[in-house]
Amino acid sequence: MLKSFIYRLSIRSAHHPWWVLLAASLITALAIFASTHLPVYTSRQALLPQDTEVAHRLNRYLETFGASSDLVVVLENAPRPELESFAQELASRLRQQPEIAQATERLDTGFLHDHLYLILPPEQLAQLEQGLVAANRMSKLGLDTLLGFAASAASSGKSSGEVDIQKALVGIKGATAFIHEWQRWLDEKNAPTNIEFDPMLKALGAEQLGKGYFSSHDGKMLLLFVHAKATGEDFESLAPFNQRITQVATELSKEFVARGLTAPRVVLTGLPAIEYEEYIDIERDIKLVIWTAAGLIGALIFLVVRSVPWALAIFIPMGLGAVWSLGFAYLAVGHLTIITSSFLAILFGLGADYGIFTTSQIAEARRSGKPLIESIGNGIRDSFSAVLTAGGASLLIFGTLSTVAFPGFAELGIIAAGGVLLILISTWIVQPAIYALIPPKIRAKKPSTETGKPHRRIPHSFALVVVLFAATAAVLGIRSGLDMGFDYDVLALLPRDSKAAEYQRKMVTETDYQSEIVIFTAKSLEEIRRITEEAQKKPSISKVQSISSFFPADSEQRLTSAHRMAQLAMQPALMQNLVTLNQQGLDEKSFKSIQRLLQQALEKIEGYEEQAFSSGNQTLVQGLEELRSGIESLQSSLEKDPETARLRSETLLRALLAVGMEGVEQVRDWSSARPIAPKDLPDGLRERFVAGDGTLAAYAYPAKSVYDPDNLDELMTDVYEVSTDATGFPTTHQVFSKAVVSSFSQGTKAAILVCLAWLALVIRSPRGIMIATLPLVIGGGWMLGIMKLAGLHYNYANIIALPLVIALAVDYGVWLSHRWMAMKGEDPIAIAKDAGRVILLAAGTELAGLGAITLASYRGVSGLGIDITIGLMTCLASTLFIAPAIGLILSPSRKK
Amino acid sequence: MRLFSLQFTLALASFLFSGLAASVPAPVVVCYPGGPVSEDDANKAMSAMLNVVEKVGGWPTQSFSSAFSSDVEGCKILLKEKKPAFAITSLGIFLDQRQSLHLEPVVQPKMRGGSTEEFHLVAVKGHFGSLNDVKGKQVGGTVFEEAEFIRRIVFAGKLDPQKDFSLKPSKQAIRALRALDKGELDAVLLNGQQFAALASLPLTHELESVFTSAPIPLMGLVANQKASSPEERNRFAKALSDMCSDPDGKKLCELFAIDAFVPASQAAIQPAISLWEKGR
Repeated sequence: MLKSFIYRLSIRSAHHPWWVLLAASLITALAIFASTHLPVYTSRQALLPQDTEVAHRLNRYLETFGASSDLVVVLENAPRPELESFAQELASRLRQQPEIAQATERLDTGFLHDHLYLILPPEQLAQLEQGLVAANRMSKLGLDTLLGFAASAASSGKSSGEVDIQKALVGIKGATAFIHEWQRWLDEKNAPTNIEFDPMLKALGAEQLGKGYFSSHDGKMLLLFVHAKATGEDFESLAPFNQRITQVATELSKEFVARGLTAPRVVLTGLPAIEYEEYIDIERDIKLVIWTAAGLIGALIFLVVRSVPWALAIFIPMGLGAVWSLGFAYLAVGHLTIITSSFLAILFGLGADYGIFTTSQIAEARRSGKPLIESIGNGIRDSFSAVLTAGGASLLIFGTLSTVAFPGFAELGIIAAGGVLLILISTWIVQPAIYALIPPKIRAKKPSTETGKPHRRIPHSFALVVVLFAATAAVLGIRSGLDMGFDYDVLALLPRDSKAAEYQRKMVTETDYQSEIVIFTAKSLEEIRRITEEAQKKPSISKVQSISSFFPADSEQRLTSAHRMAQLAMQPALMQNLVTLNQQGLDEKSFKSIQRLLQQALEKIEGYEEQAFSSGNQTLVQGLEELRSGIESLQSSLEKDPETARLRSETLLRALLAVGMEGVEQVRDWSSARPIAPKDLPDGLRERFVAGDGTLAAYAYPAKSVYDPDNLDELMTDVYEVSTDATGFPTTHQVFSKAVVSSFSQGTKAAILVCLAWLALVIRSPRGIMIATLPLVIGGGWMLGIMKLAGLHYNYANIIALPLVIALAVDYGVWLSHRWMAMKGEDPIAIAKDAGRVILLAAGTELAGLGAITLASYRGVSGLGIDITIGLMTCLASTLFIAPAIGLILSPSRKK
Repeated sequence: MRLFSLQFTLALASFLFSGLAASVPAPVVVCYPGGPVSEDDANKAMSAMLNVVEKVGGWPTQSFSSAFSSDVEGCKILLKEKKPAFAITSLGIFLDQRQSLHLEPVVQPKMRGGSTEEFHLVAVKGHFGSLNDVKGKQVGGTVFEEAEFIRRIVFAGKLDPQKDFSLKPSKQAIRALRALDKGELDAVLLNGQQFAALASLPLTHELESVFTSAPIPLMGLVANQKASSPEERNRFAKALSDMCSDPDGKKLCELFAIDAFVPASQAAIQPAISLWEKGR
């Protein structure tokens, strides 16, 4: 009944082609109009379900504080002073840009120094006070006296008795850093004027007291954290933000070069940079794929059918259906995302098949001598079952995908299913009109050279062996496919040469900072203090940034202690001692004493190193070995040119004393120390850590990559032990990444079952069902096996490959089954040859269309292309070579 | 009434015992033959460790004191003179003094996941093809302080270092390795801990093991069966087993690269005892 309806419809369409084309043009115009109003949601958030607790938490934070992830500007490949100056200038310029809320190149060290009494650990504060008391007691302290104390301490043989390996290591690293700094004062061509405290403070775990630049472990890379003013994570927000930073950095680089300075290499990374780069890559790739696919499909059809009208009869209905799909997307979903915007490529690959099947059937009818219109009707009617079966299967597969929980995939399912339906309608209605208007020339079928020759016999046993072998390989492939791991690394999807991804990985391995931060929020200082303390103890967290150190619980005692220390620092003896030491300098006698002291220290260190070595303690041995070799190298420099070394060391001593005097002055200022409140923080700190409604934030940097699911689980277990209100990218990524995989694999399984059920329902004949479905199942199994053998993994992009291949390749088996049933009495090779031409053309268009994806630079997209290409090839091979053998086993009578 | 008097007696005994313990600390002899550590440093570390043991085991402070020696003879003298109920010894000392002092292993340390170690004779890569090639060459190492142990257990009686090598014993393993690196020595024998730390030492030549011993049990705490009761041994063993999970004890365990202390396995030590007896 449906067949006769389609027959009548196609005949009418062929009789009134201009009316049909007019109607099609109107619909197309409406679809184009709708598509111009179809927004493209470019943020990753648009792909994720918003009605989840993690999404709500993140949205609450975004409403309160703005963007959740910082863009990180990495500066490298320049001398450190120039890196620092560039970082400072760049941050200052960025802060003035309208798109940027904050740009931080270092901590506000001035504020830190002024409030040192609040942030120093209690034992260090106590030591400082004891030191001030002791220094005041010593009158007329000379360098000889000091060196004497040190020498007697060293020769007494008394050890510190320190058993805390971590504390010991801090001391060793601090001493090593000081020795290296001393060496620098000896080695540099001109005597340095400033002490580089940063390496020493970093070794002592007090880098926040230095210049405060955010740097890599080796100090060769500086980092700027830039916070966008716009809270959105869509392209419209990210593009101007990224572009502005690049523009300002480029201008500054040019200025640096003009000033004769070395401009550092500037790389943008962090989530906002990655998402921006991702969008640009995907957009470029989709354009490339769509146009390449359209061109290749058109060229292929033309080359095979050698007729422009024929090519148009296939291409126009497909193209119109694809355009109508945009209108459907507007009505059904209302927007596109970075995933659904790629559906045109899928439709191009898929949609050509139907036109190929129908036109081949029309051509067959025309060859039999029937008039054009009747041939069109007959062709459409005779191919209807096959086209409906294949198209219906694809429609159901996408329809099933639309039921998954994730909006990104569900929307793709809805739009692709609607697209398939519209292309089917277009093929059945518009194609007859086009065919009638510009009927292709039909060449008479060449008489077969094999006419009269008996067909080659295919032994039944051979067919059985082939099928068994193929099925075994497919079963093994399916099993290995089930074991195939999932690669959760989102960065691996970016182009191979992606700087943002490369530096994102560097951030994990070479720094303590990652832009994928965990955000804790609290309503009170007590709560943020507790969160900070607990988070700092978690091994999965490398660093916690918080303002809690400015608000310690014992702030009252600290203030009292600060006032006491200020009084001590005001005593004249202390400053006088420093002045005396400065005046004395480093004479030859003292210099010799220092050399002896170094030798004593070396012997001590060698003893400790031996002990550490005999305990098998690698870390301690490494630390002590570095210190030992540093002292040896220093000794040889001191002995090489003693007088220069003495003068340089004297300069260093004076620089140290100057710093000491500054320190004393600073402690004197503590006499006016008073309690502070969050509102007293400098702007940079307050904007980052205190929201307008008084909510406080602390930021935790993961110690390991969050793209490894084990690391992420470990991190999140630790994080939720600290606070169940934590948010940030790791919290959403943990929930969504797993849910994406599980819901999508469930959707894929359901799609396969629905597809098989549909084929069984429509074809009904057991032989037909077997011929239609087995090539798909076997080809799918081979695809998985080849993927496994090639070392491929599932990832967020290629997880869609299997359902796509099923939706695309189901046509082959269906068409072969259709021809098998139609060509009763023909032998398998003849049927395979007849159906093979059409299937090859259909597969060719799909390979040209979706295979073009392999050209994409975004590895997520190109990887999907590779997987689809493998799948189409295996399904094609299985249809052409295995399905006839299956048919032969099922219909032994055809074995002529 | 009877219950009251029993409690009173126990309390009094406990008070008297703790008072006695506080006044006369029980000695724990610590033997580290060939060790580079000074007596002062060792006693400081041991005192820290015994403080933790006292805390974890519930003994009053100053219940134990340590007596340290880093040479074999000195250790034997300490064991004879002090007659300690507990001692921390090397496997060599334990095997040598086991019968005369009625020693019984109580706990063993677990290091790098196991309670055994392998000794390695290391040389510059490519210099020697086998252990036989090292015969007659200059060999150094701290472990030769216990030459008999090395002969009987490490080389399982198949080689006598004193006859087969030109021995250059030293108290400093790193110095020996630097001498090996400079070509002043031909090979160095390292114990398991030293071999584990070898990778952290920057040397110009790549070293390789010419010989690796069979796994040898690590020795920890031993007890004099006649000077200690089974309850005391169990209590001490329990205290040491809990030590590495105590915050202060953990620091010590990390310092000595000890994962944990585990009850000594007689079955694991028996092969060493048999080998020692066989080598007489």
